Amino acid sequence: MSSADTPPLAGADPALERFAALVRTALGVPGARVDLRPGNLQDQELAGYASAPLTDADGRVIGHLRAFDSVPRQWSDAELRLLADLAAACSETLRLRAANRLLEQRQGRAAAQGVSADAAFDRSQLLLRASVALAATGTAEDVVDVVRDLVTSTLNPAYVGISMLDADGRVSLQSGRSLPPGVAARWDLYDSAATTPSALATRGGVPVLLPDMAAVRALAPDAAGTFVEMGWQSAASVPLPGPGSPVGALTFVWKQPYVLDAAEQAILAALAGYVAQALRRADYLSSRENAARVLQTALLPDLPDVAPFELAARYEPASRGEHVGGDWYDAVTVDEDRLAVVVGDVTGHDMRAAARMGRLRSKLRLLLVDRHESPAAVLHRLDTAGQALRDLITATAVLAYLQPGPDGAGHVLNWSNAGHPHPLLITAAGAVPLGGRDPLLGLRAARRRTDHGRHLPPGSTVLFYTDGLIETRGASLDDRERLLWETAAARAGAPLPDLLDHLYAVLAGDDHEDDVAMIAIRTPPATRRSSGSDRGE
Amino acid sequence: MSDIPLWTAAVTARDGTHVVTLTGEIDLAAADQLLDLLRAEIDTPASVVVIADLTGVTFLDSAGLGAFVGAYNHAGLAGRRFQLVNPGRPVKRILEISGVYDVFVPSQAGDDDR
Repeated sequence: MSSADTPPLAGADPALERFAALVRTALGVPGARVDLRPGNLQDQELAGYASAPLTDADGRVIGHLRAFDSVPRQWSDAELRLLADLAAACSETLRLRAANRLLEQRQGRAAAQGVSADAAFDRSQLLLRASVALAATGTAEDVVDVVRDLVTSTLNPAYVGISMLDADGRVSLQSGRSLPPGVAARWDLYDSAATTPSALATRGGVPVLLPDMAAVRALAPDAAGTFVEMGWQSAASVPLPGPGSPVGALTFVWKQPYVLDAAEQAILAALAGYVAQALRRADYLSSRENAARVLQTALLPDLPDVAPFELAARYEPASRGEHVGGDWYDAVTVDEDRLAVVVGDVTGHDMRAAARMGRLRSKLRLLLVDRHESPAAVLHRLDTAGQALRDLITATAVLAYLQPGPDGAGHVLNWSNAGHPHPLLITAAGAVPLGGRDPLLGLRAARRRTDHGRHLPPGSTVLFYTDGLIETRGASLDDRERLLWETAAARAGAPLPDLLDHLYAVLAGDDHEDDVAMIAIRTPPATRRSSGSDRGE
Repeated sequence: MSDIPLWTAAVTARDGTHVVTLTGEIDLAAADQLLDLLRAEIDTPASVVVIADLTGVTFLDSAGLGAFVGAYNHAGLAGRRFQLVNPGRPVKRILEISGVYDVFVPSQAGDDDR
């Protein structure tokens, strides 16, 4: 595709540059010119062009999946991601086809040699199922479980082990759950110079075949004791291919002497390729999830001591994937008798959302301590500051001030709502939404915002929450809101942490796809004059 | 690989009015691509007003809403208009809760469902 008169990539739009870098990395040819700019193709009909590499089981590029458009266009990140996903799917299918072709050849040879074709067929089915089942795994433990299930009816090993090299070059056992605790602890993390089947395969980069105990004692003496203890007699360990050198090993162990035939060895090598890929994905997913989670948690505040009020908060990331970040809560003592409570939701559910949330929260905190203005005025300033700083962040939020009532009776809540679910006032009489709402934050041409106020009798609870608590793809929002009101009213007197736990369990449970933030404040109960209150209020 | 789009967009343009007809679930998986598409329509030299028709939209989340806010702001900068029409009940509720229903959806004569 590229030609001598291809213009350099400099000056192409950022998405294409990023993508070109990706392609070059995948090709492993530094400095290769990739013809990605619109209008450079031979056929002038094709003006927009994006490409993703197809790879074989060893990560070698065997072709490209390309998308063309007849007009110049900017490929969005989402489109490029989709193209990469499609390419990954195509690569999987091509790999499966190659493996099946190999199996068919072996099957033919096996039939000619009078070996059971059924066994070969079982093994080809195994690889087919492996490619499907491993594609759905998200953690290293999932991968171990899937492999064990896959080979139980064919190779029928007594134990399936996966070990990975850690960052310090030690061997880390991933499959300890299926071993007795003492054995698992012994091999949890050990020097890769040890003579075990896994360490030998990882270090040597070639399969280690130990068909009987004589071979185990000769080649893998460090593991011999464990073999005797577990009643194992034979093993085979194949390296898990990595970008440069093996990243670990896939090991099978039998309780009888076992000689792998050539076809079985080919199966193990193919399986190791699938497993390595699945483990890479699991590692990638967990590192991204953890990073977003850590960032989000770091951005959430420790709650201040706000006696005589009770205060409790809870944040829960979405139960699947990397849908973390964006929701926040905050409580700031503005002056000695005024407490500010905030809940908000920055759009998006990823690390970028968590970072934007951090910026917005900090700006709002600054305004809160710097400006003793009404909630509506502070939110308006937040909008204008965002425009002035060219950091317009789309978010919904409620800002509320809690202060003593004018005549010393109970308290007053003043709030302003920027496109956020209504806070909920919970008393012994029931749960009622605190209404009044203006548009969300982040619209250009910020408009006037309104303040609202409400007297809170002693012992009142106000719950602020994000839409993750009530929003689902299935049920209507009205029904979900009603469920929240009923559930909250039924627990009006519960200690605040228990109330939040209960609401979370009933409404969000373990299968919600959005993150959830809640913060609740409770005013002190009525003090009887006759009991001699020492609070002097 | 689970991020297969569950939404579609089709554009018709006439006399400076570009109507983007959306269907399906406008959520995190759709947001980036949708915003790119709406921006491109707004930036088309002939466009005066870009209208997203939500008749076929079954679900809208905060990320999808973020794409509409981004398009609205982009149109404001470019001196164009961006509007939403025909939201179904669940989508209308999200727009109301976010306080943007009156901002994004032009009031129509005979619109008594308010």
